[in-house]
Amino acid sequence: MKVTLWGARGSIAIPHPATRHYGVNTPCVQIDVVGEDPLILDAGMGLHWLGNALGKGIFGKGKGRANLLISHTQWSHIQGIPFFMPMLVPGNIFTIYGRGGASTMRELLLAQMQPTYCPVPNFFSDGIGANVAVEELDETPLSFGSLTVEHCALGVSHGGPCMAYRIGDGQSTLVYMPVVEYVDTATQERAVAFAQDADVLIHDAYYSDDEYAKQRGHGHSNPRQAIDTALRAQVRRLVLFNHYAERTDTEIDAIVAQHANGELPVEAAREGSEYKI
Amino acid sequence: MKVTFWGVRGSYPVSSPHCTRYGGNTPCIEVAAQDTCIVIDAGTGICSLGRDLVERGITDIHLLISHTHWDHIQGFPHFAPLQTSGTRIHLYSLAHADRPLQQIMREQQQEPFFPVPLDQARAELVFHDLAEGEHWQLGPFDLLCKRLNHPSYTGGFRIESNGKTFSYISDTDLYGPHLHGEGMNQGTDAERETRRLDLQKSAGDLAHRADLMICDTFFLPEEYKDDWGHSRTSDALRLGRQAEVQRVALFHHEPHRSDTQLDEIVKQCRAEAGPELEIFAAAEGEYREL
Repeated sequence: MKVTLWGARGSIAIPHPATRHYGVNTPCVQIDVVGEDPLILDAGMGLHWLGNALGKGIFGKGKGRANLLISHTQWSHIQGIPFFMPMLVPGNIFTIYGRGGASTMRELLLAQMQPTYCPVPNFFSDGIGANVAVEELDETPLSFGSLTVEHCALGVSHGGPCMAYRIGDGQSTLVYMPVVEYVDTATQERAVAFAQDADVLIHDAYYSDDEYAKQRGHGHSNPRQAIDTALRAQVRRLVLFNHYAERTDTEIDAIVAQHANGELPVEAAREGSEYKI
Repeated sequence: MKVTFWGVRGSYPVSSPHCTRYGGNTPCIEVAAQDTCIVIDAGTGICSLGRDLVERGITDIHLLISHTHWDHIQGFPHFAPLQTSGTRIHLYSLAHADRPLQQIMREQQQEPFFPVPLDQARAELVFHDLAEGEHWQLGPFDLLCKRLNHPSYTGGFRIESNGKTFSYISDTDLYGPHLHGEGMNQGTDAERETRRLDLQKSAGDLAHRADLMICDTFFLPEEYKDDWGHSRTSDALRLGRQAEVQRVALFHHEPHRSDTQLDEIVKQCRAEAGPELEIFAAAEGEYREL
């Protein structure tokens, strides 16, 4: 499978010259298997740019089909949906999967489309734009073409469940944990088990190692914790993800350099990066 | 008064090597005179402004919200003064028929969409739902709010101080054939046409003899879509001429518009406008003294 990062930033996209290298778009990851429908992880602002790329092909003609998996409904993980142009094109078919919590995933996504906030026509309605369905995740694993998807709620954070996804194509495995805090050892044990033997682990590193002590309880983790989970799970490649909104390119480079000589080299997620797994 | 551009991009923030000079943050303008600080709109540009205001020790902030579409409020939860004790933030917007501004802003920050609810703000918040045509005063400023032709409830602002006038007319279809706002399409065809012309007159009132007018120029004439609620560059020039405006700042740039394209648009607008009307494209980080 081919994995493309369209957004790797946490919280909010604040364009600034000092953050241009790693990019400011909020989380969105595309997974492609040749000849199959794209699978999309999270719908931050990166989704808009993915939509523009998809629009050049069959999605521009209303013949596209894709599935989206949402980790949770913080704005940064869903705010790209109104600006995902393929959803405005009749004929395209989308299914969005996630777990809502107190409200259903569909209710939460519809709330974002209210005319008070959103200038774009509500394509979740019948008769407007693409066919967009929303499915609530239960405990059953999913499969899309040759891909199997396991999911796991790694705790409740920011008022809703935070899902992690494990995607396999029969040969290799990607694990996506964009937002996680190890509030107790049991949570980390579950994360380690879930990420076991992954070829690539994309892991929350919103805080720096030093910042985390003061930010405990805010739902995120740091590079040291990501490395710890990756090593224990015998992950082959670790990608730090969901960077704090105003973390500069220089600061991200320094974080990578600081961990460069460890047992598991780390890399920082950068918008536009591709991984062939 | 000093008018500073902190965010000038429409619809959603854009980080691209093609728009580094004009900037990619969504709308936010600061208007300052003496000790009074007015901020217009809370797009992502307000994040940098917020840090700056805290550093400058500004504790009284008047935030005018033109309307509550995402690109005009999405920066507010990340506005540093919101979590600064001893700060008072007044928020103003044209009243919505269905719910007060306070509720709209609170909903943006509720779980599971945002981790820090508005009720946990350290700043004191005071909400003002403005009536159509409402006049009010803030320090040296006289202000006026009038409704514009854009989906939901959208207001434009006229701000006067010391004989100088600044107008903010963003997110509106100035001369289009349709009415876009909530409730505007009620009544007979004749009533709707009267309403459409009244809205044009409102924009004219806001802009009248302004020293600087910020104007929605999302579209080029050839790109215009009459069901979006946005204006063309040619509309801004028309309003500028009719209202005898001195300077027009092209604003709410289409997200994909590059620096080079904007340079070219300014050149064309200047040629079209002639010497009476000064034209420039709003650029992040720049300011104008009036």
